[in-house]
Amino acid sequence: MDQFLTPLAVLFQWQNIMLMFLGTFIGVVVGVLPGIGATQAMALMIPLTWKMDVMPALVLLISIYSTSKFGGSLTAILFNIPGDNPNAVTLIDGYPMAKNGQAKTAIAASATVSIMGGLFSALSLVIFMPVMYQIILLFGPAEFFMLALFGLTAIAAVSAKTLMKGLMSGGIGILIATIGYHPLVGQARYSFGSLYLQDGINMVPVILGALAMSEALILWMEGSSIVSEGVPLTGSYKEGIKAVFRNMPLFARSCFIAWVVGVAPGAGSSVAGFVSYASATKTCKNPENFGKGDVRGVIAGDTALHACAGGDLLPTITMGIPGSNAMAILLGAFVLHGITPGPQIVKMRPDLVYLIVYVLFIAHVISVFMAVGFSNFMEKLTKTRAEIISPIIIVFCFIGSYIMREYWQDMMITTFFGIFGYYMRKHGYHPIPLILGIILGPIAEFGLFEALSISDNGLLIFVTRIPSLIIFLCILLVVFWPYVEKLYVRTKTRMAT
Amino acid sequence: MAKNEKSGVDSTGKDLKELRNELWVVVPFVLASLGFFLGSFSFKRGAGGVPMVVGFLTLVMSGMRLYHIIRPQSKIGEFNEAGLAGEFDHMKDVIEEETLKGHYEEPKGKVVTVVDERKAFLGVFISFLCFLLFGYIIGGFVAIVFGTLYYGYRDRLPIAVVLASLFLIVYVLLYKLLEAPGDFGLLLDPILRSFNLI
Repeated sequence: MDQFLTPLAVLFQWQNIMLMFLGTFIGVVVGVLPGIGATQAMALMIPLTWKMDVMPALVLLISIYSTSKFGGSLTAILFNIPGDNPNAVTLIDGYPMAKNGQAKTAIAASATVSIMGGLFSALSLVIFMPVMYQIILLFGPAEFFMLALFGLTAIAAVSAKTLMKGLMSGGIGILIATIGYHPLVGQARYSFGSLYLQDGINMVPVILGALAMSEALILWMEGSSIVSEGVPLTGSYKEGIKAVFRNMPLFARSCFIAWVVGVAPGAGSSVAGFVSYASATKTCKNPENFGKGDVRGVIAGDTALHACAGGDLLPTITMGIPGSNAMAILLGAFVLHGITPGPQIVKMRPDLVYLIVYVLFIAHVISVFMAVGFSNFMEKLTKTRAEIISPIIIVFCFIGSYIMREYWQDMMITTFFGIFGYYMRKHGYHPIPLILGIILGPIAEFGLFEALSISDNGLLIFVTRIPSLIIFLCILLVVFWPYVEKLYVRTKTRMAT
Repeated sequence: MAKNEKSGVDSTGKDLKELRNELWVVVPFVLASLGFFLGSFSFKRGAGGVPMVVGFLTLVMSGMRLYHIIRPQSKIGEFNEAGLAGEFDHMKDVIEEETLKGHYEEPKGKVVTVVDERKAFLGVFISFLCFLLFGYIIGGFVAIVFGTLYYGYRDRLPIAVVLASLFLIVYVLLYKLLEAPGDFGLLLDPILRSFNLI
C-alpha cells in the first residue's frame, strides 16, 4: 500500500506541484513551437535536476514528455502546422474543422482524448507492472547484460536511417563510456594521464551537445518558418467533449492500437497515430467524411498519440529498453540519479513507477487547461523566430554542461558533439544510439563481468539460461530481420516462378 | 545521370557528393574505433575485453562504410537495410501518404550551404568562448545578445524578455536558490577579484 500512497504524498508537496506545472508549461510550449520537441526539452532540463531528488526530477521530465503532444495538436488545428512530427495526423481533420468554424470543437475533442488517453496510459502501466514484475524475478546478471544489448540494438534499429549506421553509433557510444576508471578492475582506461578523463566522459554534456545543440544549429542554419495567421477560435467546446463520448468504441479501439504499437520497440506515437487513423477510416461509418473535417479523425489520431505513452514507458521502465528517443533521455535521467534503468527499478523502487503513473495522468489534465487558457499566448509563440530560439538552446546547453561538474572541458565536449551531432543527423546517423551506448554501456559491461564471474561455463551462460536465450533471440531478430525478410521474399518469388 | 549498376549509387551527381561528405562522420568513427581497439591491448584482462570486442566490431562496420565511400560501385558497406523499424516506417509512410494527400505538405527547408554551416559553427564557438571568458552567470547574457545580433535579429522586446527570464533562471534560481557554483570565467574572475567584488 505504501508503494501507492508514498508517491502520491510526494507529488502533492508544493515544490512538486510547482515542478509539475513548470514541466507541463514547458511541454506545451515546446509542443507549440515548431522545430523543437519533447526530446530536446527533456535533454535541456536534465542538468537542472542535478541537485534534485529522483522523484522531483521525474515529475519535471514526465510532465514535459506527456504534455508536448497536446501543444502540437493546437498548432495543427489552428495553423495547419504540426508542432511535432506525430501531430501531423491531427491536422488532417483538425484544420478543416477549424476552417469550418469548429475550431473549439476540434480542440475540445483533442483535449478530452488527451486526458482520457493519459488515464489509459497510466492504467495500462499499473495493470501490466505486476506481470512484468513476475517476469523480472527470473532475471539475473546474464539477462541484465542481454537487456542492455537489446536496448541498444532496438534503438539503433529505430533511430538511424539504416540499422548498421545505428549500430555503429551505438558502438562508438559504448567505447566512449569505457573512458575512465573501470568500476571493478580499478584501472584507468584511455585517460592519457588527464584527471578529467580519469573521471570518464559524463553523459550530460554529450546528450546536450548531440541532441539539443545540434538541433539548435539546424534551426539556425535553416532559419525560421514563420507560421501563417491562425484560424479564429469559433465553435463549441461542449460539442467536442460530447463527440468523444458518442464515439467511445472508436476511442477504445484507438487506445488498444496505440498501446500495442507503443510497446513494440521501433514504433513511436507517429506510427500509432497514423495506424489508428487508418483503422478508423476503414471501420467507421461514412468514411468519405474523413479528411473533410470529421471529429472522429481528430479522436482517432489524438487518442493514439496520448495512449501510446503507457506502451512506450512500459519496456523503458521495466526492461531498460527505450521505445522512443524521449525514453532514451529518461533512461539517462535515471542513471544520473543513481538508479539503474530496467528491472532494478521495478524490484527496488516500485514507488517511482507509481509516481510516473500519477504524473502521466495529472500532467495531461493540467496541460489541457493550460493550453486552452493561454491559447492567445500560444498563438504568439508560434511566431517566435529561430534566430532567438537557437541562442537560448545553445546557452542552456552550456549552462547545463558546466554546472553538473564545474569542468570547462564539459562545455568543450558539448561544443564538439553539437557540431558532430549535426553531421551525424545530416548523414543519417541519429545521435540517440550513441547516447544510449554511453548510458547502457557501463550497465552492459557490469552485467557481463558479473555473469561471467558466477558462470562455470563462461560465455555459455548467455544461451543456457532460458530468459537470456529469449532476449538473445530477440536481438538476433532485430539485427538480422532485413536479411531474413530479403531471403523470405526471394524464396517466395522463386517458388512462385 | 549514370546510375551504378551494382550498388545503385549515382556515380556522377549529388549522391556521390553526399556520400563523400559522409566522410566527416565515418573517418572519426574509423579513427576512434581503431584507437579504442588498439588501446585495449594495454589493459588488464577484465578491463580490456569490452573495448576490444566493441572496438573491433565498430572498426569493421565503419571500415566497410569507408570502403564503400571510396569505391561507391562496391556493395560492401552499402548499408541499405532499414532494420525492423523500417517496417514500421514503411507502414507509417504509406498511411501518411494516403491520408495527408492534399491536406498538408511539409515545407521545404532552406538548402543549407557550407557558408551557412561555417557561420553557425563560428556562432557556437564564440558562444563557448563567452562562457569560458565570462563564466556561465554573465556568459549566458553575452552569448544571447551576441547570438541574436549575429543572425541579424533586432527585435528588442523579445531579447529583453529572454534576458530577464535568463536572469531569473540562472542568477536567482540556479545561483542563489539552488546554490550552483559561482563562476565568472577566465577573464572576468580576476577582474572582479581585484575589485573585491567576489
